[in-house]
Amino acid sequence: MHSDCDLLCCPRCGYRTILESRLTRLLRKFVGKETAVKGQAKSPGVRNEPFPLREMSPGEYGRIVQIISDQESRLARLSSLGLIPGCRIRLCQRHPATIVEVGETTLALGNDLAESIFVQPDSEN
Amino acid sequence: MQCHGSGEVLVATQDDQVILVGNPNVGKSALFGALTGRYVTVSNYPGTTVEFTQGTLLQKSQRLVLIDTPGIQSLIPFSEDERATRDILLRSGPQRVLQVTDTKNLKRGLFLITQLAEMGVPLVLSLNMEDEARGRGLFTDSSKLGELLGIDVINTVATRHQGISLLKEALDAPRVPRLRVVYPEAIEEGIEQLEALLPERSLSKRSLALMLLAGDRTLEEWLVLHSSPETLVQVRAVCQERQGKSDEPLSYVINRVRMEVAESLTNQVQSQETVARSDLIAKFGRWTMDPYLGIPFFLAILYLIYEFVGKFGAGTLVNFLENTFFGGVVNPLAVQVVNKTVPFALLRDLIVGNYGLITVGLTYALAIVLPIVGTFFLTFGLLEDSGYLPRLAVMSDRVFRLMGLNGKAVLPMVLGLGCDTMATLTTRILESKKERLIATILLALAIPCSAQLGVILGMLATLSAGYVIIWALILVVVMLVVGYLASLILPGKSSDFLLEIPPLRVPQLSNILVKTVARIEWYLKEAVPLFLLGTLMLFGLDRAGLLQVVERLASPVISGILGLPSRATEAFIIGFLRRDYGAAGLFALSKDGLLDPTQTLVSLVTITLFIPCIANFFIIVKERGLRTALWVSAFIFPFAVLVGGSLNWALRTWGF
Repeated sequence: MHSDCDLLCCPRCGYRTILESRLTRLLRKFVGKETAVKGQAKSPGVRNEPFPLREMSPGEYGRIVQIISDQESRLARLSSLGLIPGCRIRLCQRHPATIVEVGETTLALGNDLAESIFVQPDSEN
Repeated sequence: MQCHGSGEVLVATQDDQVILVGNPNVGKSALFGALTGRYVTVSNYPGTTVEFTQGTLLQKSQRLVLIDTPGIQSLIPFSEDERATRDILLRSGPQRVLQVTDTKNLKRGLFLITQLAEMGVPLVLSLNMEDEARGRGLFTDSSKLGELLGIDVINTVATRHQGISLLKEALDAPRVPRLRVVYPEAIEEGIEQLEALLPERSLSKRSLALMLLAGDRTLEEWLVLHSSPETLVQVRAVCQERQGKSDEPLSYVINRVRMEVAESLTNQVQSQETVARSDLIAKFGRWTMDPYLGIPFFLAILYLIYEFVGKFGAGTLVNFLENTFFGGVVNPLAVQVVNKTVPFALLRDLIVGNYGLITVGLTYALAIVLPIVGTFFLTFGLLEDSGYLPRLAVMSDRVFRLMGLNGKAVLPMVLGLGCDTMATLTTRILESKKERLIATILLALAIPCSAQLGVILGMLATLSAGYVIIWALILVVVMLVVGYLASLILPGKSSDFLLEIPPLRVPQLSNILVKTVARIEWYLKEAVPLFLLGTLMLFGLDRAGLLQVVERLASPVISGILGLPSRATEAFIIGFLRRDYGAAGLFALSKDGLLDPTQTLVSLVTITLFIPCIANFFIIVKERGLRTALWVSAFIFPFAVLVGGSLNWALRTWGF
């Protein structure tokens, strides 16, 4: 099993099968969470499950819940800039690029990158 | 701009080295300059130190060699810059590190320190830009941080030379930071297993093990070199096993743990007071990226550039230098002197004749090209240092996407309006090979360098604004179409657009001047010899009667397809040597009334698109390889003729 190949291969008989990607496994975790939440009564307008960064309103603060990507390099780059689960992030604008503030760093992200980031609202100032 | 091989450190010295390490845009280069008194390219665009620069620091007890590195986010490399910096630290030998952090982004700096601590490198930490942090209400207890880590932590403001003497003292006796990050058990076990396999080197095994677990392939070469291929197989097996047991990439887990440690440290030494952020400059900074306000801002800046570089540089300065200075003083003087002292007519003509080295070569280089390029570099320096360029990158990202690039390409593209050769060097900041190639092609094809630009705009403006618009439109369309097709045809991927936006800063005039002077110096060393060479060539061709031969050979293209007079051939030949020189040749033709409006437009469009000038060609060979350079030229030459010819046909058929 190599990091750049999706197939799981038995070293003895050579049988190959598709390995469920990490992305799929991670997504399962969140789908699982959502199912649990849907069963509960919740006040309208309050979003409990994590949603993509770009769905925040400009100016809103949020906390990163998870960064989901099947590209290892993306995860590594975002995390080395301080974008890790638990950190506070503010969406400044969505056009012409997604601009966010993390701590005292302002970053511009292309859409693909932005779509990997899942947040929950966080309004304590 | 320095031209060292990337990643090579040309140090064969007995002196101890101090390696400057830090995130991009923290002021490493400014600090380097303050410590060594030596100039390095300093600018407010993350990612501009693309090479390593060295300087010396004379201490009381010893001489230290300072090495400046490109900014990095992490020492687990995901870019060429990061790899080069990591490799420098891997080399054994007496080294110390000066880590430079942006005080207001302390967490990211401490993230780096966790890695340097694991490597066991003695270091001094500089908390730079301390003034900016205080301005935002961030107060940092540097002595407490020093105690916690067991190292010297110095507050600095590099641009004002504050804290420099304390820093120099601390560099005499750096210590290894006392910081140990503990990773989840699965990873710690992996580290143990790997440490058993790794060879004895001066760099800590723990650090190497973590890099390998994080999937750093580039380390494998090093490993084979220092141990054996069998070890590599075992190492890979361990890494795969560990990765297989984890849901997430190990590099991500490792980064998260480090970042959490960095955050907790930061919280212990930094406090934030809410400050009324009514910072006008910050507001300004946001407006320049605003989807609505951003455009008028950009147009305003464009207009200012036009006034300064176009009217003042290309107009006033050029007129003065060409007519008053060279035309009125230098050239007549030269003619007199030469006529009296030089015996041979041939030699006389060579120096001051129709293709004379002084009357034509030097005049063009210094009177026409230099003022335009000089004012351009000045303006570019201003844009760089203010921090506007990353904002421009944000605004133009969508447009660049169409061409298979992203917003980061704005830096080489804009620099290309000054000098394509310099800009081609800058394409290194683009992350994928494909993007670098596309940018190189577009630069050579459709971005006119500033001197050429000045001449061309001057010529077209005398006709009518409509011509300028057609010319510009053709260039834009060519860029979009060629870029788009290239992105489809060429193999490879584009990279993510991820760019740090530094705060807008009031640029330091002294820094801009130093930078501009350095660039002009570089340009003169490149340009003047080639101008003279070009003049020499033309002179030779003319004397040997070969010029007429070449003109006849080229006439089917020049007269037939492009509809230009045969004398225009000279301009194109020279256009290969120096594009601007070629445009100037066409300028001369039009002043003598030998080109009608249509011909002017066609010739200018063709020469703008024409093959890269010789300097640019050599840089492409150096950066992308000879084959690529030849292919690019082989594409551009017929393409330029095709577009010129089509334009000629279209204008003549539909009249204008």
